[in-house]
Amino acid sequence: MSLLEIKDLKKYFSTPRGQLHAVDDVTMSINAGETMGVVGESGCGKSTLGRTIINLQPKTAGQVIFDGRDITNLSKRESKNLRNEMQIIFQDPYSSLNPRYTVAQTIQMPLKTLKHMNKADMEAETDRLMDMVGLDQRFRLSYPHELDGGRRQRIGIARALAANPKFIVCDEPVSALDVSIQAQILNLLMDLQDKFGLTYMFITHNMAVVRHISHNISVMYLGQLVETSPTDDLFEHPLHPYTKALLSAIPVPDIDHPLKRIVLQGELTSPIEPGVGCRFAARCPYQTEACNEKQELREVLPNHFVSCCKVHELNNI
Amino acid sequence: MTEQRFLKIRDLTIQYTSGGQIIKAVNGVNLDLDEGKTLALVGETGAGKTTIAKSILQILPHPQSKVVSGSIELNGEDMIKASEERLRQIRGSEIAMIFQDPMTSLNPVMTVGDQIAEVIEHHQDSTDKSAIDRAREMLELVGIPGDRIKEYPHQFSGGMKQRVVIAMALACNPKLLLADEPTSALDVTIQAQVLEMIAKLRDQFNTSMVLITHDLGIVAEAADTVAIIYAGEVLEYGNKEQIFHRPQHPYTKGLFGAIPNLYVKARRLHNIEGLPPDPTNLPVGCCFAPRCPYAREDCKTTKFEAHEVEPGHLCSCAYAEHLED
Amino acid sequence: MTVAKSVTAPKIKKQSQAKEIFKRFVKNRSAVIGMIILAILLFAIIIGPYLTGYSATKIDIRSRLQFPSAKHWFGTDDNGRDVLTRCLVGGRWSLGCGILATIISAGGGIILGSLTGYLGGKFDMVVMRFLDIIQSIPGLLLTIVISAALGTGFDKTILALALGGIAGYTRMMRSSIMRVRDEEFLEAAEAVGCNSVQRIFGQALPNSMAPMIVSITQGVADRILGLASLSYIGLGIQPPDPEWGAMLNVGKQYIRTYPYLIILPGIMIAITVLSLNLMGDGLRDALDPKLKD
Repeated sequence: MSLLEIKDLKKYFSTPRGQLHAVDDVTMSINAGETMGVVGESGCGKSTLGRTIINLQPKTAGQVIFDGRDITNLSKRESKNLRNEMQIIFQDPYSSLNPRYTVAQTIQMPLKTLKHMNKADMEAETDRLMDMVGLDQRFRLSYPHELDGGRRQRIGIARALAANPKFIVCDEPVSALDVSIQAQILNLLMDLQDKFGLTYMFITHNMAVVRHISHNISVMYLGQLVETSPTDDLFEHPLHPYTKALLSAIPVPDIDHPLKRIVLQGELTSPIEPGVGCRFAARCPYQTEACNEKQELREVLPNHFVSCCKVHELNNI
Repeated sequence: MTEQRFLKIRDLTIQYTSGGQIIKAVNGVNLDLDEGKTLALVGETGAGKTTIAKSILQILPHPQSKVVSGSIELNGEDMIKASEERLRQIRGSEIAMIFQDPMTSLNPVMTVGDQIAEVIEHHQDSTDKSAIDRAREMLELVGIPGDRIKEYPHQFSGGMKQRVVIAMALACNPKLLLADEPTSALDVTIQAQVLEMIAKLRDQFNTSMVLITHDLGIVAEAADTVAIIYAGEVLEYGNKEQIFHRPQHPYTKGLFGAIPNLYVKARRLHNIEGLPPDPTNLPVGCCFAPRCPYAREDCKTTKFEAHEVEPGHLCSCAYAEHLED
Repeated sequence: MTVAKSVTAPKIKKQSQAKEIFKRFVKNRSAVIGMIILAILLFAIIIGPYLTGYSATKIDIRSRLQFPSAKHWFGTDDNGRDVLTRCLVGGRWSLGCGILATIISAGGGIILGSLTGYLGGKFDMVVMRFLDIIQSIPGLLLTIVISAALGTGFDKTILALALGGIAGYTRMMRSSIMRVRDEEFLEAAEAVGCNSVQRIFGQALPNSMAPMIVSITQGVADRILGLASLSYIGLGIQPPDPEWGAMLNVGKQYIRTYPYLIILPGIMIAITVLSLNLMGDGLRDALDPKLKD
């Protein structure tokens, strides 16, 4: 059953040079208790997508249905109530914590604003949350700058969990961490999912991480969804030329199977006032006339959606 | 290992002082690099990789840092004993460094052409005109159209800026290139372009390279020899095949286990419990012992010298061959 | 996890936080010296006038212009009043005016600056252009004009001193709010349900106060000097009430013959300004948890 459905979501920003299409006509659905990985390179709009869904940024157009409820247009009060159900974990464990708040104060913020708890309950709940994310009680009164990146990220996770949400947007939660710490945090996130049936939207540029944690994956390029499918399908049979290039570009710690890399030429095109056609066309080795038309996301294989007019031809399907 | 090596680092120990405390950044490091080869320094944040690279160039911050002991010989010449004047000749022309962040290593108010030309003029007695010509040539070499020579850094994307930085580093045909996380600020598809380009230029000019990274994928692709650095020590050193096929040290094994694998799906990752040690207060015994699942009593009290587990493959873990017992 | 623990925990936290700030402040030697000087000064101007045995305003023409002696430690002025007593009473006016005026202008500046810096847009544009106009008038001239327009008296003088300063504080606050505005912790606060008022004043503001705190202590010093200038030209505090600036004004006529008349008020101004500046520096460092060592 899908917990979250997004239909034709758009988010444009006004810039002096025109409309920046950060998120353009994105449609996806995320099942309850599962993880949707959203991958793409910097500037592809993946973070904006996550923030727009949970209403941290107003949308330009489109519809969001959460738990059977249309949450597209909400009053201020409803929008605040929604924070009890949808939360976010940020990328940068340094700047996402208020440097003047102790660990306990940061975790208690949502308890105060969203749960309206009294002092004693808040302290008890803080203990519980800190245990849950594996933060030792002795850090209760520490300031963020006294802790390492992994512990800081645990604070961020505890803060999100304090609201007791069903759905959490994880915006690159491990990109700023070292490999050994990264594994600790990923394991923690998966344990929490198993324990509480959480639904994640996991935003990252790291393909190995996303493969590890996600049930389904969506690939974004310049604000648009180019491919979405179950994780194994995507890694075994990537269909969109961009996904193929992206997967082939990842350096793999394996010296026996040197990869056949598809090196893309050229740079990302500007997301400001892009044309209607395929946005990847400028770097695509298979570009033709038809690519200048609007591309639809179509179900090419069961549950495997691709937005490329040449997908059948390129993959012999 | 007595024969002449291109780069030979012996017993390098570097300390910083900060707020009255002594930070032991690098502790008795031995490394070798042959001409035309690439040595990868792999380790986590704060392991001392960048400090080692900066000490080769002798650009450690003064006066906080101090080389306590050791030697860094480049073609038999000890960099630590070299005069400031000699170092100025060496920097840029014989050894060049690429820093991690292309956004901050370019001067925002100078055109990229002038910045490359400046390096050339500094080391070669060339006229303005010929330096600019050479700068244009270098830009084209890294895949940027020569007519963009008059543009400023902000007009370039991240990947192109890093290529400009590489062009600057290679402008004087250095014999040794120190690349400090050259692609970690870039996207994967752009990273692929840049790595490809570095490899091509390295082969073309027969440049040796010290590559600092935390990404074992990049190591697999670009390195010949690998040194695993942890808490300022080399825990394991060997050629690529030895490290990737027969990792010996528990930390190296842990690192490989902690990376989510692109092709094998495991629900749980092996994590290395705990945190790297505090560099102001290093353990008495093996620096990895507090986190090591195989640590024995004497690991915590005795510091073992690295020993050869097979020809050319050094490992600092005394029990590396008996881990399963 | 017992109930007792959860009840006592918040107390521990509050204590340790205040204690920590105090500890950091005490470590800073010059800040402590500033605080001690200021404390002595405050004690003197509050208690002192009762101990000298003279009135600050009562004219005693028979003992006018006496050099310092055992009877009058710092001599008497041209109306026979004890200079020490007048200096101490004058301190009440000077410091009182300085502190109140700074509170008003800093308060105004903090509110306006936080709002303009955080909200941006048209509101920011209109407020900032208005402040540009005000700032195009030289500061002291503006104070004099306002003071002349409002008239003399304690409250009006404070207002005159305060209004001119708002623009400067607003500008400073605005730029320092803008520096933290895009930090993720503000977004995080929004995600956990903090409204804009809580975000601006509860989150952004405390992280942007460092430059303000120094500038506020310095502001008190500036206002004392401003008040002295006003009184010096006959605005501000009116005779017979004593005030440091006004005393300097009187003293200047006798600078060649009775120089002691200006020495004491001059020293008082200098000491006050110095101690406030020292304290401000220490306070800023103490309030920043990142500068712990």
